[in-house]
Amino acid sequence: MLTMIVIDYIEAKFPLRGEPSAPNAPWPQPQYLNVSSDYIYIDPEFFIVYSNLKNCDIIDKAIERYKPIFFPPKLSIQIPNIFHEDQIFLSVSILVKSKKCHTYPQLHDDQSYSITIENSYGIIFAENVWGALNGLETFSQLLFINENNYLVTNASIYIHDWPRFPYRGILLDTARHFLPVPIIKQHLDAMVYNKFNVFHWHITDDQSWPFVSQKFPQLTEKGAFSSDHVYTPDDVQDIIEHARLRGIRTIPEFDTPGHVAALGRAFPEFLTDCYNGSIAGQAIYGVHAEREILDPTKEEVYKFMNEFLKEVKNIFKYESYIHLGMDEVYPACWMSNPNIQNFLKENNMSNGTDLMTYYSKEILKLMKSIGGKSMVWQDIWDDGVKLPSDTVIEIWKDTSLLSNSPSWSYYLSKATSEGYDAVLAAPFYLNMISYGKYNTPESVMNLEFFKWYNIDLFENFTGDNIARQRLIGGEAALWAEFIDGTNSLSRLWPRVSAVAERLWSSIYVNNPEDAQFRLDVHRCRMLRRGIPAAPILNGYCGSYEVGMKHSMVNEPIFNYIN
Amino acid sequence: MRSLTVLLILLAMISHSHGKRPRHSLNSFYIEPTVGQPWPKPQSIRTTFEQYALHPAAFHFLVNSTSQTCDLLTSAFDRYYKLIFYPSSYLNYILNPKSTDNEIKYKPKKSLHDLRDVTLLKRLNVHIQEPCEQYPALESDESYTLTINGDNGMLESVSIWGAIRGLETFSHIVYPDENLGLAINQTVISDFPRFQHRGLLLDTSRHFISIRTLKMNLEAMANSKMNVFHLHIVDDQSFPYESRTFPDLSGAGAYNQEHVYSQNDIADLIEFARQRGIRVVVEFDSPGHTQSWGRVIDVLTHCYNGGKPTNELGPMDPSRNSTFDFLKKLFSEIANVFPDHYVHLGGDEVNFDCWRSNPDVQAFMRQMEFGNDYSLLEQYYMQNVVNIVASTGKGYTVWQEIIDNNVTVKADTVVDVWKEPYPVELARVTKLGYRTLLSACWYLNYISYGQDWINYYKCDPHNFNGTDAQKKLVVGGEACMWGELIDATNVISTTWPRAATVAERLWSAANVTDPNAATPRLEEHRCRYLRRGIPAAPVNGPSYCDVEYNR
Repeated sequence: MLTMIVIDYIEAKFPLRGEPSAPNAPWPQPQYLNVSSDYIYIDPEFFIVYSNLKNCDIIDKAIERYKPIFFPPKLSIQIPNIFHEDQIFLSVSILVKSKKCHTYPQLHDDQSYSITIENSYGIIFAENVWGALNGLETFSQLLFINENNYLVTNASIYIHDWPRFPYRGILLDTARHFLPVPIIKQHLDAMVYNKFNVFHWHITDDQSWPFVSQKFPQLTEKGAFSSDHVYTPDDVQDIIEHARLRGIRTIPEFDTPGHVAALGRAFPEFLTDCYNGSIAGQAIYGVHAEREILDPTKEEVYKFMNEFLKEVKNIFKYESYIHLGMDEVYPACWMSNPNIQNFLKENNMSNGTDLMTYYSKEILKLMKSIGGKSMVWQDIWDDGVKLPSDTVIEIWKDTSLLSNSPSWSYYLSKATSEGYDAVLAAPFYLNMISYGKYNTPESVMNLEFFKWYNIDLFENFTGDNIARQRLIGGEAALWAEFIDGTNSLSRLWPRVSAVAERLWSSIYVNNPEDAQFRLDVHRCRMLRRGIPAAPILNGYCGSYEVGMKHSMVNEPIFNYIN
Repeated sequence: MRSLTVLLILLAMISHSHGKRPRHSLNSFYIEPTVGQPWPKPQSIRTTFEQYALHPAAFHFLVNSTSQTCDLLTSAFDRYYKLIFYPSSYLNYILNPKSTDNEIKYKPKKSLHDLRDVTLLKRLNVHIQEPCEQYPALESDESYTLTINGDNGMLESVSIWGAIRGLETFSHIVYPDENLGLAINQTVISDFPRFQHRGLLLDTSRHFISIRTLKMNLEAMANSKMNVFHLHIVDDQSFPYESRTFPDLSGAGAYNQEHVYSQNDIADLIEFARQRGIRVVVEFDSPGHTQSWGRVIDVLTHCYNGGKPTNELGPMDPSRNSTFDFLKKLFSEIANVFPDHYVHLGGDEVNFDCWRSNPDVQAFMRQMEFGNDYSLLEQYYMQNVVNIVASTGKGYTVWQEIIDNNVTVKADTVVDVWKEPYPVELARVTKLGYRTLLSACWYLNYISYGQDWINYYKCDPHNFNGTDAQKKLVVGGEACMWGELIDATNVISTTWPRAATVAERLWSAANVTDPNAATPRLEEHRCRYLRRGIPAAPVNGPSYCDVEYNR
């Protein structure tokens, strides 16, 4: 017997506070939700999903994809009796008002939707396909298998829903450790289940360069961990397509001029020779390495960047943004180099900041010339570089990370008030784990969850209303120093769901003690969909847990191992 | 491409010195794994650069004509043959022995023809002195010597358990090699554990963990020569143990009837552990941590408020004889089901509030002349429990509170020290003449960012002031993975390879303490886990393994 409903929350000393969740409570919480208390039954054989858009891959493939989610494989579902006839849920129709089959999601696309279930029929209504996908996801969460193994939902439901922030990102780092393609795809699936809509692919860094360039194959030949630790052009297209069909943008990050040791293995001549006095290529312990950071005085660096970024632009052909990194550039090596010193003199520059300004302006110009828009870490903006107005600034600095830094709210207010779109990452470094439990004297609470959940992006925000609009959202980062295929899914999910709800739901949905119950239901939902989401409360889900009889984690429909 | 290590280590130093690169602060370590180095480090190992090749068609495990043998050895041969030559299908083989996914489709990288000009290691002769014991025990001998020289290898041990440890070491010193396919160096190893009890605790009550996952964990333990699986099987949250005598315990106390361990499951698990020389020490913790026991069986204390019973239940009720009648039956069953000499009786974290509130308990306190000292009641309860268990012929392990609380226990009792400051408690317990094991510094469920294993590695069970005789009473230690935030989704990747660092502390010589020296071997050991299909997580910063985990 399946008992997904009755979950025991037994805590020895302190009862869990908060309101237990309905088994089909959606996550993230919709903006407006009205649900009756009676149920209607679904017969998997006779349930139809209609759409008013014909031959639209986004919708057609979504309908196909949701079948095993509506009707989970391996779990037995009772066929409802005929005398239930007026309680049978017959069909749901997806109505896309624009009637356009969009190809790729844009930042300011309408993502809203509404769901109506009444008199045995359901309607998902949206302005465009992206809203329809969001609606379909919420709809799928409304169905559940009850204690008698019937697939049911509430007999009348009305939902009207839209995101609080248009940009809801996840950063995965495939350079510190390689993440196999099947794992990335599962992350993309889990993102859909939590209404994240941007995959920020931090694809390269000092440690490795797994991205295969056809123009510059030496990048992976020399810069990847091994020839097995690469993303081929097919892999990359596969990932972009997987994301696109799910309404997720893929923004690649090629971080320069720092974080380029792996690039430097392929092109050592692009790096700056660091000097120890008059000796070139000699490290000074604690100051600089032998060589590091691209040398901005070298013409061939810009030639390479031009060619390479053009290739990237072609590969990520639907996405207008490329993330250029530009973070954490420390000038000691540059300043030690006599050629660079001369260059500074000749160009009336005096320090590393000037040189960084020069480099970043060149690269931003280059981006414009190839028709791309730029996203950057905040560092060059901190340096006072005037950025093109459509640049998106990602805020990662905060007093908690860097003791001499202002708070992230200061940066957010400043960047948006200057007219830039800004994305907040600083408080959402999900890789910085801590033990989350049992720390308050009077209540049992997963404090780690609480920590992410109670971050208000507008806390201490000083910008005006126009500036508020420019705070476009947030991004949770899973930096991969201690993350790879063994643990990335269970580390990130469902902890990052706390961020998902913060970015999507109303600011008034902010009671973590209630939310933890809904999240527990949601984590079981993710387990049913083959995502090994870790527990946040004591308890259990069902026979579909990992390693059990109906375990979904290795169910072929939910994973992508060849 | 690993020649870049130097540069990257330099980068690492730089970022540390700046001390202001949070993204960066740990990211530039890039440690080259060792090749063919065993984990945990043997007591003595000598190798040369002379290499021999191994090929599945030209290698055999053999039992010496004068050696003892038994089914344990035969099945270990079978396992290690598959593990060495067909690692990618190994895990599936041991978890689903009947599955048809066998080694046939995995072709060796080198043919015998390719290897015609090199020396092949053709056989490993095994010699065991003493007849096989059926089950491993605290006193078992695990020593062995392993000699690889020319086409012949020799593994000698006193007991079957030593042979199994030696086979594990053998599987570590075989390594993938570009020219030879699989290679091994000329080697002489003489090895034995520093501590007899090298345990790992998993908690199957806060979250259920499937038998399949528990087996994977046992395999991971064997790979690091851990030999005690402390199964914290029940607790407040659920009672997944399906009792023959009291089926209602799990009937009402398990999360549901899919989240139970049947008698067959338990037997299967014990056998799987036995094959690997691992003891299963089961814990039935009482009188606290027992909420799940009392759903249908009336053994818990009824709590009162303002003279009236509330609906709440407290610890086991020591004021009623029926409680102890129940425990007699339960523990006599447990004594039968679990072959190990030791049962863990818990005894930790008893909250007295409910006892205080209950009028019958109050009357009993007066009758026993305990005054207001509820620790005397706790002592009374535990004294009864240890007597009950002793009468079944078993020994017991207890959490330290029992000793702190002056319960009289049998001489062979093992006291599990879980509270800080542990050196004080270890000194105290051993001074009383009890055997002890250390858990306090090895709560692996308390995760934190970074290379937290270094703290585990530095913790030593002999780190207390005491005589040699006291030190000898320390039988070992246990890594604990409590289950509040752990289930089958993350138990393996959170436990491994962090628990392996505890394993090395408990097996290797006392002077093997340098984390920097251990790191490259730990890197290899993690990659070895991945090669064997066990998702051991990265613990030393950026790295890669030839085989990555993708499911």
